[in-house]
Amino acid sequence: MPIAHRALFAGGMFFSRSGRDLSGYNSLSFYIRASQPATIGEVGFGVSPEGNKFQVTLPNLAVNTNWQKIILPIPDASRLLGEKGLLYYAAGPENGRGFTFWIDEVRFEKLSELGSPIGIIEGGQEEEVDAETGDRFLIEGLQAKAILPTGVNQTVNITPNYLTFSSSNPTVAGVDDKGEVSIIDAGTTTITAKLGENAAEGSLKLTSVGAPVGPTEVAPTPVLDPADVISLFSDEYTNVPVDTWNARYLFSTVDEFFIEVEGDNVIRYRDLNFVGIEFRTPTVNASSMTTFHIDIWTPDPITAGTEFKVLLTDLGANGQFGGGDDSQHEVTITSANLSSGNWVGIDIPLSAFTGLASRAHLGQMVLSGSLPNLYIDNVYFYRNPVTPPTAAPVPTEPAQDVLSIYSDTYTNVAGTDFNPNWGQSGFTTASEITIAGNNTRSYPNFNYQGIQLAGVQDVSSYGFLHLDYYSTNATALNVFLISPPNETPYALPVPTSGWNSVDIPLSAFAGVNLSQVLQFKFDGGNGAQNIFLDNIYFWRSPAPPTVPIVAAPVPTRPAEDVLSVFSDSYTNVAGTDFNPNWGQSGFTTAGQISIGGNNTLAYPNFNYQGNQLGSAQDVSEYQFLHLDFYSVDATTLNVFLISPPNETPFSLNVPTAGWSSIDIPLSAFAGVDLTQVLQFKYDGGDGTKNIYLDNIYFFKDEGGGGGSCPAPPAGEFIVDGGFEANAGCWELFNFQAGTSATIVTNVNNGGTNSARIKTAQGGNPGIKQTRFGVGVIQPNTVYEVKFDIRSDAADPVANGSILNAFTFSEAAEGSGQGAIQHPLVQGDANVPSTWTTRTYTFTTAANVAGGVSLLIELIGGGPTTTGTIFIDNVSLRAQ
Amino acid sequence: MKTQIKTALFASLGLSLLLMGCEIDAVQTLPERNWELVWSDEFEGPAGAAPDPTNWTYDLGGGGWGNEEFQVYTNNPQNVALDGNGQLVITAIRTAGPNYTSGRIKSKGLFEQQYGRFEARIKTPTGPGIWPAFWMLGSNIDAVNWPNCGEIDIMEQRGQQSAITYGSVHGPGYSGGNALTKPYGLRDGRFDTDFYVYAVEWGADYIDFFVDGFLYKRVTPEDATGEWVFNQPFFMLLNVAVGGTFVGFPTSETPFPQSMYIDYVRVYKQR
Repeated sequence: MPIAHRALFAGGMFFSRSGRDLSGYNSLSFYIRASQPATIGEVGFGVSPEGNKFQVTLPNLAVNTNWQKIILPIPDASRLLGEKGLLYYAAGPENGRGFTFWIDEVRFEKLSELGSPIGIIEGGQEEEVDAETGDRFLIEGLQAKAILPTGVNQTVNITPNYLTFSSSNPTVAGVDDKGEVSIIDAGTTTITAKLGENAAEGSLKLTSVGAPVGPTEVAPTPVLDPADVISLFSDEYTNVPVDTWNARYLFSTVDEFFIEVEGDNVIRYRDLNFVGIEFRTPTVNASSMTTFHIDIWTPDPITAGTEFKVLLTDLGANGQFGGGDDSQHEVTITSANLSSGNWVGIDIPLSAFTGLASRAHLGQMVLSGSLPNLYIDNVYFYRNPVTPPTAAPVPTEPAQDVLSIYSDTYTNVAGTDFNPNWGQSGFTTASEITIAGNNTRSYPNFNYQGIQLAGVQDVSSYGFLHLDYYSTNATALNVFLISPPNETPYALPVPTSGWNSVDIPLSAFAGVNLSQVLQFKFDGGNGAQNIFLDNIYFWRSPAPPTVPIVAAPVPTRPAEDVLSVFSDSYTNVAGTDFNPNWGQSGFTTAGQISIGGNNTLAYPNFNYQGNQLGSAQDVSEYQFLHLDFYSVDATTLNVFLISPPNETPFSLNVPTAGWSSIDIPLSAFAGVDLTQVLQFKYDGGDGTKNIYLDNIYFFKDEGGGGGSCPAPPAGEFIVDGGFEANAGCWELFNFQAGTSATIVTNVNNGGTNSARIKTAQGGNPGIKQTRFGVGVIQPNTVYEVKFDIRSDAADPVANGSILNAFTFSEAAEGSGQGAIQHPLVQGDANVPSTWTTRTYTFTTAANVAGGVSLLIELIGGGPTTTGTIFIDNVSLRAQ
Repeated sequence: MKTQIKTALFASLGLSLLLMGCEIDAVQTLPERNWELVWSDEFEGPAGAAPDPTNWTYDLGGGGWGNEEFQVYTNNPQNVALDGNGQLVITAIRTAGPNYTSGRIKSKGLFEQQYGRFEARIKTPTGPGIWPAFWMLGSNIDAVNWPNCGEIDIMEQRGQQSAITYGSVHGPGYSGGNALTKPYGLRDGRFDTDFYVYAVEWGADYIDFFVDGFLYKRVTPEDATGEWVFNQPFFMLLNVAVGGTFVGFPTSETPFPQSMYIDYVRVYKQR
């Protein structure tokens, strides 16, 4: 049977008109040779004009000029009871040239030496696939193999009709007799097959997550006028042609599904790494659009770093990929603007796609990021409508603080001409329109526009010009305030995406006589723009109340640090006269008022005012004078501390916007004898001012910091051993010139701070905690002291500087008995420049009624002594 | 360690005797012998377990074993292990290179017997270059060397002809290509698709070869072209060789891995 084979594809089938029973055979065998070495694309059987239900194919059969016998095993002969397709082949030219091959001795036979056929699915591999409910998979790689008499396998491709498929877990997935798997629920199942009675090699393990998590609600329905939209995907609009919503670019893993949510069409992407979307036929001209919109929904968690990216490509004038005129830009939406389980509307100004040379030929969009599960809807380009769809916001300034030119909310000044003929291009088209019942000024065909008041207005008592404006097509817009001949422009950002409200400080209109304002002018157009104005008014901040309506802040200083003159929070010194008759203008009106139950000194009609203490007070142990004061109308206010005859003023900042609190260092009152403070005086008024005072007290702040000392860690006795509290928990002493003991933030062994001790000749700077553990630390008991130490490499412990550390067993305070010193380290001149932990123990004395003290000091010896050490993480605990 | 040799058959015997089975269709009249089971290994045990060390030891290593075989014998469970279903599995594996590992066990020093019935139920591996065998060597091999010790090959097969099994005896003057050998071909089927019982019945002046109880060869001292050395104890071996002079090279199409499944080995003596 020679089969001439010219330089074209050739194929043929040899079939029987009546079906043959082949069940008694186990193979198709034939001899084959060719005119040259060649590869026959397919040889097999089971193909007839009636179909190929039981097709068996041997692909890519290599032949040469020698006869060779080929044996094709019949996978399951019991199925071939009426087979018509007895032989078929398909072959193409070899290197573009035809050849001839011959087939002979074609026979179905029962070869005793042919091994039993073994089925193969999935190419014999144990494949694993993740899936979800609704997925369908076709089992692939269907083959059968049998050991030939020569001991090697002959593998042929077969149809699923030879195999019997089964699913190990039919509640997860079923498989039909064509090998199509349907996922119906969450779980795991393995698809296997049998050829005859024998298990086929290979399997497909499916792990189903169940039904996909998706939106249950419709994305917000777009409300834009279709005239302002070019829609790619939305039920609300007529969409432009989109070539594909998944171009399946190389390395893209995404699958797309067109689904419905509550009847609304939505595109779902699964396994999204990136998806190419193309709309090239035709390209989209979004030149007149301003914004790209997409609604997205994801079940994926949003964490820091989660991103969603939109890339747009303009294909250039040729409308094709390539050609050197393409441009593209990608915009990244970060996690702060993403949400899981909600529709998120994303609006990206097209101007943000800065890499786009044009948007007249947009043809491609690529969505990517770190959201593998994504649903999208309402994908469109839009521009904000030329005419505002909604009214400008309703002003809320109190009418008494407003001078209104144009607003439905206020009474406007009368007689304004909103369209004086100044030669503007929009003169004939300017009008007043109504938007949702709200009157609005409309200026189409805008190049410039004036507003002429009936007469000059004095707006000098107002702080701001308020303006609501709307223009989605303006490229420049200035508002001028005019007191003829003076006019000053103020630039307004345009275009707007809606109503913009601006409050322009009148100070911005420098050169304008605010008491002679007669006109407004707007310019920046070229006759083609549309601007809309509303709520043009001057306003000022409401005057704060003369009398405070809230109490002064409640002091927090510990009472033991305070000497109080006037405060509900402390016991005040007795006998103070808060309104001595010193001839002040407010003498008869001064008094105390209660604000929310808090007593407050009230001094209306203030020119000056005195406070007379019941007796001279020694405040020398205090460091500060605290004062809360309130005056919205004072222009000058001084507080004097007086030890007769000496008095010193301190200037307070007035007027106040509310209560002001100040801590005045007593050093500010130079000349005053702080051991003999008898009076306060306040001055700076003119008899019309109103001042209110509260919480007048002296205090000391020994902590040197604003915090408070924490309790020591459990089982320990040193407070703030890491020097982190910034609250003066440690005594830091440096009595000699050139020495210092400070808490520093730039060196530490954990945390932020450490203690820095710098010594000099004759110095003993150090840090100390005194009399801790009273009643807890036990006598005659071993305790452990631990601290981290290093020297400053730039100022090492050298030339006679030494480290000392001691603890002391303290007798009861005031008992007159001395402390017992326990040296931990004494005379150590070798402090390393790297952090080192020192651990010491000591045994308390018999008397620790006054607790224990700890001292770490750096002693300076000779004249060239240097040395700086850092101490951190100090602890003392029972051993 | 001395080389233990399984010698190549006379290659020309192959195809011409393939159809032997066709001639012997009649019922056989077998000699009446009364066998008593004296030793067996049923290979019961958990999957992955090694064969009973009181019955078997391993031959380990490579070097060709005198026949230019390719495999390296190991005692790894991948090569030699029980399958948990009452079978011993000896598996030939192709590794990178390609190189080959396989297994070979023997009862030497553990069980040796003179005369009796030695049988094993085996499903053999297949594929070009695969050489499974169930065979015996004279216990005095260390003293007298091969072939003076004698060799009885109860079953050996070429994987490229898995419908044929060979039974052979080797001795001084009739070893290697001159061995006394006989192939037995299946009329319908292949030795790699099912278990077959391979046996010899051995007495003072005969060695009878059986497949599934069918006697296909008797060797007697008269057949030997040299000294009859089969009047001493022999030990048994089971192995799967890869390549070698008997079977030829494995090819790229040889399916690997290839396993020989041994359901049991039983040894009887005559009452």
